[in-house]
Amino acid sequence: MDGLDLNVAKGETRCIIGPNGTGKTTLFNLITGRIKPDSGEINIGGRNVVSRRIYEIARLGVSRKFQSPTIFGDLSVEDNLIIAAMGRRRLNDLIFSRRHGADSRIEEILEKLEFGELRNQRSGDLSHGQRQWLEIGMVLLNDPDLILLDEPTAGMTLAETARTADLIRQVLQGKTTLVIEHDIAFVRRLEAPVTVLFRGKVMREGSFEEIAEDEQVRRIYLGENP
Amino acid sequence: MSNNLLYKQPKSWALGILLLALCLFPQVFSGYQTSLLAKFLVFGIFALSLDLIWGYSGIVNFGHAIFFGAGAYAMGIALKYLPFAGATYLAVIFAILVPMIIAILLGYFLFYGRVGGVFFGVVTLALTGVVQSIIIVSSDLTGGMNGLFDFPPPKLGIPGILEFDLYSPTVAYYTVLVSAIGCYLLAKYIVNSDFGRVIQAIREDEDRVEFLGYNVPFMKVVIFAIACGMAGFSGALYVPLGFISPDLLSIERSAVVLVWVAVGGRGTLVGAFVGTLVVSYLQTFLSDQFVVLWLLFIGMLAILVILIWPSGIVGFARTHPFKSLILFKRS
Repeated sequence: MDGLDLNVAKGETRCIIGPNGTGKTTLFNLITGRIKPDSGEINIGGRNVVSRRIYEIARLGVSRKFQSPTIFGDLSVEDNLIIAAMGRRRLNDLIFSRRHGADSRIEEILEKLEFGELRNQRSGDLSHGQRQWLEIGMVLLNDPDLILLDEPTAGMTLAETARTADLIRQVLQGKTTLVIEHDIAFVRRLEAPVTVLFRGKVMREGSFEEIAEDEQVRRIYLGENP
Repeated sequence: MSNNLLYKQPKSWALGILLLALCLFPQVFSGYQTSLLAKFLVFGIFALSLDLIWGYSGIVNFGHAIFFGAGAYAMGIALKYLPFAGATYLAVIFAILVPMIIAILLGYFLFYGRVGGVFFGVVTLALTGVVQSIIIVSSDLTGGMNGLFDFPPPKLGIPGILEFDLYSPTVAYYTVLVSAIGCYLLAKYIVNSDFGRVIQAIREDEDRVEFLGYNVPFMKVVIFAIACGMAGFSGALYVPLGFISPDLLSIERSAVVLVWVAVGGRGTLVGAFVGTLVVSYLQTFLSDQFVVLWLLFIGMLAILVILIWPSGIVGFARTHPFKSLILFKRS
């Protein structure tokens, strides 16, 4: 990652594509504080977060979905959502289970995910696709200002991928979201502006159509011969 | 009609009968038997406190007896130096606070220093030796190798007016019974709260929990301090039932509490009591019958239960045809 300059408007969904090893996940690791930059600043809401810990950055409003679904498999679907929704609360709210409106948001997400009947199910028993959706729900309930989704359709069937794209468009509307994705059909379906990363730098930015027609992008990423 | 009620609320009925039996126990059995059950219930509270951290938070503690022993010593020392009516209450508070402070200090350095899993266990194991040595060396305060015994008897009731001597087996038994129920309800409340959910999530994947905005080391310090305070409380309850000596903090005691929790069922709360009672009564019975070999039998039993029923007696009862053992049902 070197001299990366990426500007995303508030409320915008942005797709980030690029060949493997180009620094997409590294970008997410930098923003969320998992790795620290050698130099430079990372500003979130005007605050430099380079020296902040992971949970402090999360509390500033950054929520992340990991590449492979990372949920708490031994706990129920509802418990997973509660944990995500209470992420920025104080200890006494947690001890006395004071949800302050989180319950209605959890109900809303359960409904949008069509998870009503799965509410009390052990989340580790969900299908792969359902786990990915549960984690998207968790990220949303965490009430972030910036959402980072790392390959939300990895390992999904075609039908699940289509549903995920619809779900993201529907539930993440108006939220600033960065989506890393390899699946070109999914990127097209998302109807969001696309940034192409190459060797740690922004190579192109534009609508899906513009990117798809760009000669250089096709060469390095879409795998077409020049 | 009554059959119908029994059918509808079997768990409440079974619980009611169990409580009644526990309440009547001193009326039916001898003072020796009453003291013995009281002692085992104290150990049950001790095991319960370990289940909170090991079963629910995934914190491995090979030195849990430190906190039990610290509670007993704190109680004894406080009783010795506070020679006035009502001192027992202060001594109990002291017996809870001292282990909590040790836990907060230990937790602060280790959890914030990202020492986790088995490494945390090894540190607690090493600490057992350290604390035991400190107790043996500071014999002026602790009685050293001889143990601590010259303190006034702990008393409950209204100080100076109506006092009950805790050395009476019946008083000790009912105090312990009420404490055991209280500690169980507290533990149940904690694990069912949103804090308890977060703790269990930390057990599964603490990285993920941190990305959701939780200060994971802080959460671990909090549950560790609560559990160690409870262990200290059980140590205080042990004072009228046993003898305060460096043995209370031994590695053997730290190991046996792990066995109680594993046999009863990790992460079940009620399993802590079941495991403690089953193993302790068996130990009492076997050590009478087989003066030398009893430890071998207990060890083999522990290995067998853990191999055959990895989730312990309660875990097994909850998932197998034994479901009819309704007391163990998850609620």
